[in-house]
Amino acid sequence: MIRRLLRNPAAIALAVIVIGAAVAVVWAIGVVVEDTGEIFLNPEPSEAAIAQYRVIQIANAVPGPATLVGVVALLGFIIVGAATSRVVEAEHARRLAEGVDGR
Amino acid sequence: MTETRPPQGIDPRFDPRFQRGYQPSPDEAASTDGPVETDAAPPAAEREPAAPRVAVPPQPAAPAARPDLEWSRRPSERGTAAEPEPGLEPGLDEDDAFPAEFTEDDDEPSPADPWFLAAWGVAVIAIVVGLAFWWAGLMAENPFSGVGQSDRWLQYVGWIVAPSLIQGGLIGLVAMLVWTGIRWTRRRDRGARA
Repeated sequence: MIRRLLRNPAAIALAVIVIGAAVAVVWAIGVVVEDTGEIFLNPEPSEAAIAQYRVIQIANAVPGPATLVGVVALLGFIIVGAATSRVVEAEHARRLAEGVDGR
Repeated sequence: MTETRPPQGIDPRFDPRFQRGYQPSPDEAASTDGPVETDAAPPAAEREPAAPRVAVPPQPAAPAARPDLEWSRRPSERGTAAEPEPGLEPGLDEDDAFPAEFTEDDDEPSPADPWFLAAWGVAVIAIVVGLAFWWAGLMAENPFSGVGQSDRWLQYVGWIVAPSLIQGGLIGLVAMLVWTGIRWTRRRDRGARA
């Protein structure tokens, strides 16, 4: 069943979204937690400091939506898996009825 | 001058058999072939407690089936009754089965359905527009020089509208992917059955 599920392009996309959301959440939390706020201590920050500030701003906005989308994608992956399992069981029952067991 | 009066309650202009209070003579009652309702009160000893007083009309004969009308024939008389329709579950009566002409082989829209494509498009556009507003609001913000008056609306949209647009688009994409995955599975199942 897992093999059949992994042949489903939409299931692969959902799995990628789940993994990507988890990675994004971990990265964003790490960036925000490690920020020391040094940029505000320098009255004339460099371009690199401003870029770092932008990154922190982005990281602040990532965990919420990423968590939501990751959980929804995981639920969707489970739903697709349930549908695949049902189809596999029906196919197995059909093969048993025909006298040919593919497993 | 005497006047012959009919029995009380009997109108001489009409058939007395169908009038209230009529009592047939013995030979007349024997020759009656149809049900006659009499309202004359029988003796109390003969009165049945729950006997219906309404005459039961004879049951009409079943209408003859017309060969040109399929619906007028019974299922056993129909030509297709002996041959089960394809897709009919075993043990399921023909009349209980959903008509084949109304069953849909594929109950989901095809990938080329414009509504289906529009759903993908709306999800993608929501994400792109949300990202654009969010990025514009982020760039308009400068922690050292403040925000200009003209950029305030952009920042507000980037803070309030953009996250909802992005989240809605992403959830829409996930929903479409789930739907697509289920359709893919069912399509493969149908392909294996064929």
